[in-house]
Amino acid sequence: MAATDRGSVRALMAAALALPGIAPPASAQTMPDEGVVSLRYLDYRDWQPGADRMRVESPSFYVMKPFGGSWVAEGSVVYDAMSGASPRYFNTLSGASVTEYRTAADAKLTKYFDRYAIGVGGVVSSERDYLSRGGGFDARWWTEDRNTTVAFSFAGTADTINPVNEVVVDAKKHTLDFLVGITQAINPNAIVQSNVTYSQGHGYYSDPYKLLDTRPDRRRVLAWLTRWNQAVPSVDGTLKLAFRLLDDSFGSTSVMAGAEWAQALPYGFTVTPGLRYYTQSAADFYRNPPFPTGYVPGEYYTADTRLSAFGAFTGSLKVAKSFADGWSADLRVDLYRQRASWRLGGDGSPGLETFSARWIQAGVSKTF
Amino acid sequence: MTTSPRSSLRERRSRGAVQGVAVLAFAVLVAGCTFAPPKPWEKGELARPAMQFDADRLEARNQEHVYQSKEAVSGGYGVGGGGCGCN
Repeated sequence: MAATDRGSVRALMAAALALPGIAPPASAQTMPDEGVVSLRYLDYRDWQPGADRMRVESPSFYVMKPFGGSWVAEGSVVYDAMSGASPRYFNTLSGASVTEYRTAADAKLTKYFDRYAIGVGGVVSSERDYLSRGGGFDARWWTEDRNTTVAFSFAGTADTINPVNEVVVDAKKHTLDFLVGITQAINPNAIVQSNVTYSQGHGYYSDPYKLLDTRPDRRRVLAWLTRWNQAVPSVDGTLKLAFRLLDDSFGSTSVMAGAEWAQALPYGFTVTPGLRYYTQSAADFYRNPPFPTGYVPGEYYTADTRLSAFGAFTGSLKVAKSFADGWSADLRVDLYRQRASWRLGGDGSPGLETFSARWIQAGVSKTF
Repeated sequence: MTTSPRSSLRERRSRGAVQGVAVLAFAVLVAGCTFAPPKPWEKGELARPAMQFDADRLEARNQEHVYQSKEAVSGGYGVGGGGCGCN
């Protein structure tokens, strides 16, 4: 099999399963009073008309434990195995099917005080052609009535890329991420969280396994995410809304809107159907098919459909059950479809195949 | 195909339309609620698992990673979630 085929799988692997977040925006104003251990399994497949593309099998493990009265330690490990074929440009797939692996781990320590908490964490991710290391810090303050929490997070990541086709050797990428967020209890039945994140990076952003792919060596991403959880006690349900605006210096802007309804049922069951819509404009340097029309040596160019203009819908269904003694289990299925014609507010990129994916997750957790 | 001035203008207009719809939707959402933060004894509903954001850490991470790999870029949920060179 050709090295580029193997390489393109690696590229997609790294893309499909990026690093675990170092410092997620926590909304909890109080220290957890019990630990939790979780196991989860992800089975992912995607395809385009007439061709299966990638399959990912990904078990992961998470543990969180309070100790010493005011400390919380947490960490996770994820292992990914990917196989299949990925596009070298537009919808043209590499011929061979191969399997590649990735392992990542992260750890975080948080200290709680009366009105604030601070945390530090680190993460490492390793695969044959990609090594990433990062560290982060976060701080949260809350009001005396604990109805308002303000969060600030910061993280730095350093990556080293050594693609098997050696188009670059020891290429570097450095990223700084910032988050400012607020979580507010609106009334006894509603809570809202709004985060602004800003990411600034420099280094090697091109995809070494996509033909002629040449991207800027600097990138800035500004995102505004707002989530609203509304309890409806009369029917024992919860409406969960999410909305995000994002601006990427590569030239793409995107909008995401999602809604879930968590319905509590007898015997500890909860059923949660969900719908998500996403739309993005194309990056400035994305050029339409046929390949390689529009390519000019020395100028930025990509034929990566992920940087094209499209819209996408996801339908999801999750069934969870709580058991006695702190056990819980859940099963979740997501179906995803991406089409140029579903782009909001303009024409999608022409000449691309519909892209589809489905992923299934099974999880079990135990508090202790 | 090189971007023409006309398509660039159309692009900008469509971005403006998308953002306008977004802001409007958010305003409607905010306007539709009563701001009356709960007293300590009124927090029973807020404490339920379904009312938490990202209650299951592994599930939230899997979701975000799938989308990050199939769409141009991710953001908004946390920091340090980047790190791969393959957009």
